[in-house]
Amino acid sequence: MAYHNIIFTLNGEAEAVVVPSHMTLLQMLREEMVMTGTKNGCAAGECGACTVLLNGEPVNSCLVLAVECDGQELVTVEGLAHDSQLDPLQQALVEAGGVQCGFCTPGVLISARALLDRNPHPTEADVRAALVGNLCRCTGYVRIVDGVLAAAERA
Amino acid sequence: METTEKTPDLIGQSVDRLDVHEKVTGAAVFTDDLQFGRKLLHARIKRSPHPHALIKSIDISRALALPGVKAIVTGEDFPEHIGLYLKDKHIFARERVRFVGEPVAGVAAITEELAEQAVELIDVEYQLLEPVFDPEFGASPEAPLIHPDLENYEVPNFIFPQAGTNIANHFKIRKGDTERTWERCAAIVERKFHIPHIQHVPIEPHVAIAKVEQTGKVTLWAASQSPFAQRNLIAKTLGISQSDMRVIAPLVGGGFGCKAGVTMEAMPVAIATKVPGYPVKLRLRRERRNSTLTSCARGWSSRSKSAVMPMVNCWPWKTQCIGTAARRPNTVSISPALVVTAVPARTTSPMSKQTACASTPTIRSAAPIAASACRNYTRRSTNAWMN
Repeated sequence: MAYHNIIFTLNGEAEAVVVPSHMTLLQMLREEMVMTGTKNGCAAGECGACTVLLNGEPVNSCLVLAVECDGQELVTVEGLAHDSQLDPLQQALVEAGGVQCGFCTPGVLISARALLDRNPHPTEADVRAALVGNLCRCTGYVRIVDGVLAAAERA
Repeated sequence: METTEKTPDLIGQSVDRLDVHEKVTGAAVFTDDLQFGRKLLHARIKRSPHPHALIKSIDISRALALPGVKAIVTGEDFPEHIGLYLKDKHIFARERVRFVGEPVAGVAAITEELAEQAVELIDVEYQLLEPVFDPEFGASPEAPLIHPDLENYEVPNFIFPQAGTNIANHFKIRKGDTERTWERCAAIVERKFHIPHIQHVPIEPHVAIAKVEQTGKVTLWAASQSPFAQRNLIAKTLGISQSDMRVIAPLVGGGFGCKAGVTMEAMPVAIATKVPGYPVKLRLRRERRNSTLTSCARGWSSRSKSAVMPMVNCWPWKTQCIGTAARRPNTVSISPALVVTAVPARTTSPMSKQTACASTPTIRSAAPIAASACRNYTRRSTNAWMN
């Protein structure tokens, strides 16, 4: 089994990790870094619970190999809040009641953050399209969409 | 008066969930997020590929020889039954498998990959038996018996298994006199409905970690809706004192019923009894969870006869439901390993075994008025399905 030294930035901080070739980004985050905010739902790219930002783009971290992140920038749900202040998206989702069991929430927040970063004034259709890869079994999605739209209005 | 003034008026207020800030920041701890260090063992389950078969032999020697495999268990190790209501299961099958995916053996190894390899090296020889795929057939006298000793299982006093059949529970609810009421109805609708098994599919897969201390104390961490039921049932089945067993249920990433009762949680505990001091983790992959290692919502076949009457609020209704038992995780293949016949029941005929309700309406006008919209659906069936 081959191992690789990789360096990357995670939520703005430089990291160096040794990873086996076959380790996924999701495994590296949860098992090597013990950053468990990113969730493992299906490990097959279907549920979106493991979504992280890779150079600003939302990706399913279960489908990305850790070695592919060498030299790249990563943002996880733990990187959204700063200085004890929630990201406006986090605050809006709380207020809209868009969180129930909370297992899909990290992935939803990351997908929505990527949307607002490239399109600060999305329509409802834009929000729904951006969240199409994030499955939620509790909320019925309406309050999640409301929360993202409210965050966009506030920004 | 002062206290009254201090009481907040919550009606109409939007109140944040108590755990919502942890959940939006990634700080919330679910079962799979708990850390157990490098001594953690990973469990995998060898499962039946057949819907109904006798187990002729299980050879674990090749799997045990694999370096890194710490324990392998089979049904031989755990003779007692387990189950939430009807105690009809073994943690690992003994003598017979009754659905595709039934656990036959469990492995604990130092990595998930090794546990996976060990499962492949377990050789099980089966003698195939006739399976049952349909609940109505399963409830019929022609069906092969899935549980030949059904009547010997332990049950609470509200479950009624029928000896010599596959019927796990049969109950009737009757009120009123439907038979005399049908003729006064404007239209009668009689239909048959089928509902398949339904998977709950929480986004968080099932996961449980068990540790047995050298002192015999047992801790189970599980994504669980029923920590108390799990402690009671697992402890009893494994011969552990309840005061020696603790179940910890962190946040649950959706359950919708499939993490209630006891299913896969018993397996890591059973395996952990063979490797004291090591935490043993069983985490179901999505495709496993979506097959048969846990429970699913029961499928149903039901027949229903109902009617409309002018000027009344109630009308006669009778229905017969035959459902596959949900708590048995038998899905597509052997659905009616057990069959529930639920019957909101009809009149008073003591002959009818599966009969159904009638709420006797207060009839204000017996004059049948035109119900042409319904008439198309009227089937004055002559078959005696309620009798």
